[in-house]
Amino acid sequence: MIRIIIQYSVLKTLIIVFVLLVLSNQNNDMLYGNETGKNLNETSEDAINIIFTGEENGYLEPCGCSEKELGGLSKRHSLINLLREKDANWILLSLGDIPGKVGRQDEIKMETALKALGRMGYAAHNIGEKDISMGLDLLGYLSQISSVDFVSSNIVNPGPQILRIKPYIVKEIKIKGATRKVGILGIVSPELIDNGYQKIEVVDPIESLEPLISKLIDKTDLLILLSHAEIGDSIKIAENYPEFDLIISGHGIDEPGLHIAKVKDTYVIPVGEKGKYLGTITMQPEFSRTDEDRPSTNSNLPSVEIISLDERFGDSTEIKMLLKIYQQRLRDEELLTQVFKTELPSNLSFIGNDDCAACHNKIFKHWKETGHASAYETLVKAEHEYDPECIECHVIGLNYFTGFETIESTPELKGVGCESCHGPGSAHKETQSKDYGKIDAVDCTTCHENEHSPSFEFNEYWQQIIHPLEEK
Amino acid sequence: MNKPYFTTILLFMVTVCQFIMYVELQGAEAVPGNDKDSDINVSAQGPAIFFEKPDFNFGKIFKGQKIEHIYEFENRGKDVLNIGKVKPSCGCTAAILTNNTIPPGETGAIKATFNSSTLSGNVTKSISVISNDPEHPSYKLSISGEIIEEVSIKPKNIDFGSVPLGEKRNKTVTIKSQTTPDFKIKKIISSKPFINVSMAEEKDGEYVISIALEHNPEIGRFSGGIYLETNSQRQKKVTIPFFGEMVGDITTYPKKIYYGFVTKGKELTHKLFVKINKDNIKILDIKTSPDYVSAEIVEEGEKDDHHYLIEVTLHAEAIAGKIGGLLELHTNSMIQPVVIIPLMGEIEEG
Repeated sequence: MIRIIIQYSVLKTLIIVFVLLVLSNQNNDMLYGNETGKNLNETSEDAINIIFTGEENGYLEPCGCSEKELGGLSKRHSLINLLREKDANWILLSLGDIPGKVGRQDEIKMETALKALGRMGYAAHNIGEKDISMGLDLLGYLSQISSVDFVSSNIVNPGPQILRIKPYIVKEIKIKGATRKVGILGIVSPELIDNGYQKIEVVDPIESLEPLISKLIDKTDLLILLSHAEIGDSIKIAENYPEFDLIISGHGIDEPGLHIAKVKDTYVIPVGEKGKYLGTITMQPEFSRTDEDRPSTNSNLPSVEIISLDERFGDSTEIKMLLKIYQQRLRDEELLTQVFKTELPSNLSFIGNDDCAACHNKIFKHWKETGHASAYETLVKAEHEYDPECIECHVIGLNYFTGFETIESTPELKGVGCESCHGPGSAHKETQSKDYGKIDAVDCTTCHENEHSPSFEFNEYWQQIIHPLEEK
Repeated sequence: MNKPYFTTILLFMVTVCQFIMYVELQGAEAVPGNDKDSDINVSAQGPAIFFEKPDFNFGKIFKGQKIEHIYEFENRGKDVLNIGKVKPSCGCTAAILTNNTIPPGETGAIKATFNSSTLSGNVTKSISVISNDPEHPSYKLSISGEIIEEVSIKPKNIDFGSVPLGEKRNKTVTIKSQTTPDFKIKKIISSKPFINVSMAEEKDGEYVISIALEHNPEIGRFSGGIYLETNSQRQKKVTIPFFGEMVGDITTYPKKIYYGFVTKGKELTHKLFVKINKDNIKILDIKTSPDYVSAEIVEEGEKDDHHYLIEVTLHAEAIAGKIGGLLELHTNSMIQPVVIIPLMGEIEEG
């Protein structure tokens, strides 16, 4: 290159210098500003295209009782199908933490979600701390029956057991007739592991990654780390290992677009929470590390897109079916009857709407016409009436003794009734005390929170349920 | 100046320029989402929303604490700024706007209340401010910090693992408060009758709780919770989840196979994992019904990893209607001579 420039005249050299400087500046602008402007219709045929998601935290789908809810596996599948129409070569990666908590419902959720990831064609699921907290036995069963590889580069498998984990995978894709190899590693931060949990050893990722990177660097064209860690820890890994082209990360970050970082040439990108977003990155390896005959190509800067899974995307029939089976399993295993109930304070009990109507008939009649009265039917329509997580906000007192149990045993407690907002009415029924049931606007947000009621505006919603004055 | 010298100087300048740019790109760069620090909107023709401090970090707080913060903003444009909605990203944050309409040059405020009761660890939540600013129709604010649990529980979940039928298991959990000197556990309840819970030890506000699986439930997975009431101001109620599995000689996962609604003519395969928990136990025969379902052992592990992986296939010849099938594993186990896996689903006309 230098030899060629010296042969030119000064004028030509000046022009070249100018062009080089202009090109350099253009590249920098792209580094800062091109992260969210990618057109979904544009994919690059000679690039490696990655889709990344994770940290579902137990959210398989929006509850379906409100409009404008983001996320869900079936919308995700529809978007993936759309992206595949443009390029079949997407590599799909999952960062970890499918369940939100432990217990049978989240076990079924995890099995359902892994099945969905398998149907979508995910290449790898990195193990997060919430996946581990489900117990190694369950994780082991799922690793055996899942078509998605479980990856972890820093979990030490303690002795013979059924949990199948790979320290890395190498995914091969064809680009313009040539094979490109993408190395995918995964870690979980030891800081996130419950320190009382003795059944698994999670080692320092900086230690565990070094030998794996040495092994893979010359055998792959692109190295990707699924880093289930807080973003600061992932940035440290990027600083230690510039060999990574991309680190997918984040923990507890719900708006991924705001926290994209770049460490030297490594992008560190969070996935967001609760399955609301799908991230894509299109990368063109600067040169082939695995194919000596293939000449170097001009490197284009990666294009990152964080896509909200909103109403633009319909539901995938295939995933909808899995979610329907999930609901059927909740019913078959009678999880509603296993809801943990506690006692109400001061020996109070729920009495049901009909008892309230005896004195507050005008209010009761008005209530019958509101959405609160038909809240249980709304859930039936959405086919979620056997889902303990959903039903809590559609009946009276699910988590307490004397509250809702099943529609057969406690039909009088269905819907968002008087006591859903005002509390158990047994004492008030006896004493007609005036100080019963005072509530605040903030109490509405127990159920009308942003995840399940994104359109909620107190003033507007209050007008829909405001009680008429009682006749004296 | 002769040509070679001039060329060399120019090349040197190019190298310096490239080096400066390289240095600028070192270290972690946050890629801005709002152009928050940009002044490009100062003299915008339309409305222009501007937050001096769009990111708020509350430092460290205890779980259950509520944090209030006011985000101040300014309309730096030349038209009236209309705020359509202020939308927190999670149920943990509530945001109230002082005024929806902000004339040019005027200021407004958003009061955010962050409730930490359902969160722990480092969190970053966001609030979207939807307005008629053409440059920033959805301006993102963030609220972040670390949430510490006042009541420390080790371990947080109780994993009984695989418990052979007839055996008992004991687990202990240590609980203490990080701030309340006279910390007390006032009540302990188990959600399941087969789990006994008792206070094993208490010293200087640190409790050791004994959780015993004594009365055996039936074979299969179980889960529940230990419910505690404490005198902590911020965490009055605490639940410690437990889970595990009662196992016989053979464990299968899943216990039922669900095919769902399948279009007639389509073939569908599910995997069944069978774990052998005792030496010398083996599968002698596998039977399936109806005849359009078949099962095949595709993998068999031995010794410490004694298991079978079975593929259960619903074939294309299946007739329309409910499947209602069974897979029977015939074994040499005394307690589980036949393990039955129901096959659920429905074949639909194409």
